[in-house]
Amino acid sequence: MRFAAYDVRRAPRHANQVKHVPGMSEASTPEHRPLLTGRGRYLDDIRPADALHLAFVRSPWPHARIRNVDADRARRAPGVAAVVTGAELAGTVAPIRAEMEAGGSARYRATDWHPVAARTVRYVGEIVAVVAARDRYMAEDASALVDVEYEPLPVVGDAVSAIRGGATQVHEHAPDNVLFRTEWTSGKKDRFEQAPIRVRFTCRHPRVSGMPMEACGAVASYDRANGTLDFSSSTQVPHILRDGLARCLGISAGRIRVAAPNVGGGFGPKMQLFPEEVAAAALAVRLGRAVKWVQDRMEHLQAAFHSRDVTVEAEAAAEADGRIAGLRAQSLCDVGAYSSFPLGCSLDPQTAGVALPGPYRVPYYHYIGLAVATHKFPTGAYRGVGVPLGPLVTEELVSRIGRAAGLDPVEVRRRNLLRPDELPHESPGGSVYDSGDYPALLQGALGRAPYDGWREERRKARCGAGNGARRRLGIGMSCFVEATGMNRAVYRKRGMAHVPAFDSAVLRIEPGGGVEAFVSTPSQGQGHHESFRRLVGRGLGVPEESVRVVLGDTAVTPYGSGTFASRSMVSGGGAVLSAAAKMKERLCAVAAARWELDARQVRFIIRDGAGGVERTDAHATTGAGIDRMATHGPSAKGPAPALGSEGAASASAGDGSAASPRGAAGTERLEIAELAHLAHTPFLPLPAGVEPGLEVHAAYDPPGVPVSCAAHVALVEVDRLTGGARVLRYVVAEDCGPIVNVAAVDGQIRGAVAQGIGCALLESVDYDEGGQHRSATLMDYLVPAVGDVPDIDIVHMETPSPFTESGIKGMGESGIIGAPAAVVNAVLDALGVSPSGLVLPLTPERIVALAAAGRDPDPTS
Amino acid sequence: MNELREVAVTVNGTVYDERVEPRLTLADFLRHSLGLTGTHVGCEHGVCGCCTVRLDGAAVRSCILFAVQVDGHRIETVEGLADGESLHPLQEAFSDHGALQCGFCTPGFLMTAIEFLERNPEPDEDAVRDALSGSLCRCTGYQSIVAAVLDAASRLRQGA
Ligand code: FES
Ligand code: FES
Repeated sequence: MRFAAYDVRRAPRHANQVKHVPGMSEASTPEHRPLLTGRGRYLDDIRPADALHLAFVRSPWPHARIRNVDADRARRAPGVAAVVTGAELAGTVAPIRAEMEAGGSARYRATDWHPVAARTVRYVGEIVAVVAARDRYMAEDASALVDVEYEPLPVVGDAVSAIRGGATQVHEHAPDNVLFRTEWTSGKKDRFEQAPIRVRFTCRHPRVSGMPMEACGAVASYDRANGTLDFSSSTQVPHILRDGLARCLGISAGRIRVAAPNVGGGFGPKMQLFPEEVAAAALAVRLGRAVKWVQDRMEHLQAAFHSRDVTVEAEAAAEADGRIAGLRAQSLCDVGAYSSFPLGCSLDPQTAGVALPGPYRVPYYHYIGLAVATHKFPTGAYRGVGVPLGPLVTEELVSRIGRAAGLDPVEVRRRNLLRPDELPHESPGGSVYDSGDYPALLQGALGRAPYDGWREERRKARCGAGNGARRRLGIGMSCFVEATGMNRAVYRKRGMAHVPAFDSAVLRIEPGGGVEAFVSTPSQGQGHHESFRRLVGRGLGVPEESVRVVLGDTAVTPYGSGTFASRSMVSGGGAVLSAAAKMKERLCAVAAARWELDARQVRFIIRDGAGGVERTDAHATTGAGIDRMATHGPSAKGPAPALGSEGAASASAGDGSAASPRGAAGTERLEIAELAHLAHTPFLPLPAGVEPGLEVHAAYDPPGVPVSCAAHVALVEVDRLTGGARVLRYVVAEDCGPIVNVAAVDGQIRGAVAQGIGCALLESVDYDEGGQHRSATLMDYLVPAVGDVPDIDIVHMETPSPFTESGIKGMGESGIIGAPAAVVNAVLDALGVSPSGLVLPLTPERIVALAAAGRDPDPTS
Repeated sequence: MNELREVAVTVNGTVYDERVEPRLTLADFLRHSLGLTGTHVGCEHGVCGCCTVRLDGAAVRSCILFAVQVDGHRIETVEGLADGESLHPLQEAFSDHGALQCGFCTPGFLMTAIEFLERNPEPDEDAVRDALSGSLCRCTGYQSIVAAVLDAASRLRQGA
């Protein structure tokens, strides 16, 4: 079965022509109404009557042996129902463990992470006991009464000391503290070695965190009579979470229901399995009562999944004319104390390695990626994962090549960017770049800026008398690609064993004609309901308002991966479109039964936005001229009707015009509402092989990986005296294929760019050398506020991916992938410095130090 | 510490008489004692602004106030903003501009902005950004929120 490209017949839009301003009706969606009126239902709004509230006793030591846990005083405290220690839980709960099938040269060591530690703690904040009490206040009071005797042990505070000979071991089975290592080579080394230009750059991306405004949490209740566990969690991945709980608790997944209520932002951290979730589930089973855990912000900063903490050391070589001859890079990823579930600690080293060659022609590539254990909280996914390291490092290298070759930053990029006629292109990073026009994107972003105007502003700032030597402007740019909606083949290659890597949708038309869509990729604010409603509405020709979209509840939504890695529109959307195609077959089968025809003698057609089935047999007065190829049915060859199409013209594939007159009524055409009735009534005899009712299921593994692409340019102001940096202007030119919902796309871009600005200038989860966690509040961990983020101008191009039926490319992470590079690039440009190494974020202290080390650039350039 | 105190407070026009622990925060009081869960708690340390409500008209952070402190006062929360089924113009502007994604920060932004707009019916963009600078949103990048507040100002001026 196949379905045609989604709405690609729309006039192509080009970078320089189109600016989408979210129109008012475009942006508003019914799902917002409860959220605007205070009637949303987030995790903490779920309030089972007799729930016990959990508080966790956490280790103040980064590495220690637990000698004794005395919970007697805590157990006697008011309101306390239970205090459970690691030793008590050890027999019934299996550790969190991410398996991998490392192929090729890769080497991986899994870790056992006990939800409640019994013998050893390996990070500040590791759980040693759980208190369940009548309310959270009482639970916290009692948690302070649990006496734990620790024997502090030596600490590995960072990745560099972790791999030094003789370092303390974080895990007994990893003598060198290396949990994952991979090495790739592509192309021949000679050109790289002989090339006249050689540039180097080392960059450390800080340990950051997704920091959704709603922290994490879970509500668990166990029905002893039926042996079923009901589990609500502020999660991105209900099915993966269910599988994880099942593994740890030894309960079959079918007896666990995981539901995500309104989720107040995800961004990655909420796709890992939390030890607190396992503990909450275990206590619910053990106590036979509802238990509730609502993470507070301090816990979140300390013990919700951190990300990145990656240093990349790289060297590029180029010909005298600025063409890249090769790239050699090594990443060192500090993944903390355990390899998290489901992705495991290979995530950052693998994805940074994929991303480093970027949208450029790189004839030689050598990469080593290391994931190293330290005594910090484990890392997991955060929007972009290791991919932002690609542009961060490569864009700076390319700028340096340009300077060495005497080329403008734009010219050196133009010479190296892959051209549309070179695509598809297998990157040495392992991705196959499918489509798009990378030079046009850069051009589009520069044109919108406009680049000449920015250069003029920069020149004025350089010789501006009013500001003395303080104020400087810099222009930064970053060109990049993003592999999205990754399929089973990619996860197989990566060896990640706990990601199903497909998604599913169930479509149901009920007897009254209303449509329900159940999809495995839930929303954390990305607007999936609206987007899926559109896909279904346009695909089936039903009013969008009549489509009810249900997400995020394993009791009703079909199995799938969930929401992460920019997969929802590609994989979840692909499943929806695939289900819609099956639904059309079913509708045709019902209509054929009604007319007593063969399914090949009818076809599904959308007229004036309304879907229906028409007969094409000789009997039909309207059948003349219908392209046989467009006949609907499993055996149909050639292009099927376009799913996004409006009206008969585009619904008829083959020929573009309406093949039959409108208003063919009665026996010539059956509308969906009539077919819905027929499919559910016993009075219509159905031939063998045609199921009654109208419910279809589609599981979808994208046949290829759509790679979206973008170019960002930033104008940044730097104060050389105070070290303050401010992003003044920002332009994104992006291509994520056919856009389903432009307001959602723009919202994703703007939010993600803001986060990328945070990575470049503000955000860092800090530990001191002794492994003590120092970012305990949002005054220490700086999330960009309204004054830190400028308006972001967006230019869209829409090149459908040739690798999937819909051509849609994912884009949820794009903004945060490009922004750190563009901003850092601009700061260095403002200061006129090319440091050999850089540690992010570029705080005022670091900028002052860079300014002191730099020369002032030629004021006239 | 656990001895209960009387709190009489008017919330969205309704008078509540409750006995609470002195340490109970206003946010928890609203959410858990009164069941008004529209007020969100994002940090519990006064930084994110999610928990913003109005106390005798002023925008305040309910996570760093105790319920006992509002005894005898008037509180307004996001639940009181709409007039029955019809949204307040500020809520409408948020909806039209897509000024929310996950919606967790939204009640705090609404309560901050409404107070600001009462004081500044004709703000420019800088003034709006300044007024919102104490609230965090992780989803939107703020542009749509700023646009919504500016648009709400003009709708309110026109008596929309
Ligand atoms: S919850 Fe009150 S300011 Fe963050
Ligand atoms: S909409 Fe999610 S935090 Fe603002």
